[in-house]
Amino acid sequence: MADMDQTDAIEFDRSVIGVDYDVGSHEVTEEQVTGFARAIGETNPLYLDKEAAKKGPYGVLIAPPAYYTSIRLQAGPDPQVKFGTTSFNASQHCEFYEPMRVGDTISAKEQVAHVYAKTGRTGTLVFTVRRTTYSNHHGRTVMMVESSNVRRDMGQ
Amino acid sequence: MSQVYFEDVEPGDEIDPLVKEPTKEQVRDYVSLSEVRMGRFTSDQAAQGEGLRGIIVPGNMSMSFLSQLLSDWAGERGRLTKLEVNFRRMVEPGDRLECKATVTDMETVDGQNLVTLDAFIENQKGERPIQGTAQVALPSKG
Repeated sequence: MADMDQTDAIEFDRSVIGVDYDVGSHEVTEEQVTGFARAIGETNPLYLDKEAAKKGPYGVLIAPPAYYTSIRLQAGPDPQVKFGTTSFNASQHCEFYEPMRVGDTISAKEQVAHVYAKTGRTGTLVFTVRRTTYSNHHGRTVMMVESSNVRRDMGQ
Repeated sequence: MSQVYFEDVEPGDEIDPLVKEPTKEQVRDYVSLSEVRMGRFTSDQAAQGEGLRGIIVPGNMSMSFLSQLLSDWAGERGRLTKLEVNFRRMVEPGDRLECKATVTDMETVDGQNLVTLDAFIENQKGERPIQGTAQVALPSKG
């Protein structure tokens, strides 16, 4: 659990918490979808074979769920956490509402949902949780990702 | 592709594992397409500068493998609807990764047939660098 006193002691910009920022848009292209699918070793024709995808349930090539990890966005809000010497992915929580399709224009909003500290077996850890919401050009939200990043002091 | 139906599934079922052995080359390909731009994924030297043994596989890449397992299992008429993972250990190029999932729960909500699974990646040492849960919507025969 988060340690409230410890969190209070961590220096960061509290003004960005919970505020959505536009972080850009992305055209879903056949080239990037098939490139991503190949890099992961996907074999599903819905991502790789235009003709097969045409006959499939979406009528067009779709992107694999994890495609969002290849979408380059602008830097989101930075809480400027003054702690630690390095950071790593701690966890990720994704909700997929509908696939991204080739031809979609996806726009993304990002917010810093929480910053909190806790003590693990390796010492103090500071977590930053970012929530990114992706919508298509029809205005429908296609997915949401909550990504938690942990900062720690490697010298500890 | 074969299609799994909600009626065919029951708690305790294990999905056929998906095995991945990412190479440094594959990590570089993935990174060149992705938004991660950190030296620890492309250069042994940069990774060592951060106290690591060498290049590591991005957590997002390992998670992409797990999502491949689940979305392939869901089939054309099914869909991966949720994936929640914890990154517990580093994954290094050359590791043998078995992506696995076991059905834990099933329910029908608002006409959607939802299957909950424990989903994880096991490496060659029997450790689980990635552990989480997933939800998949499956079609019904009915």
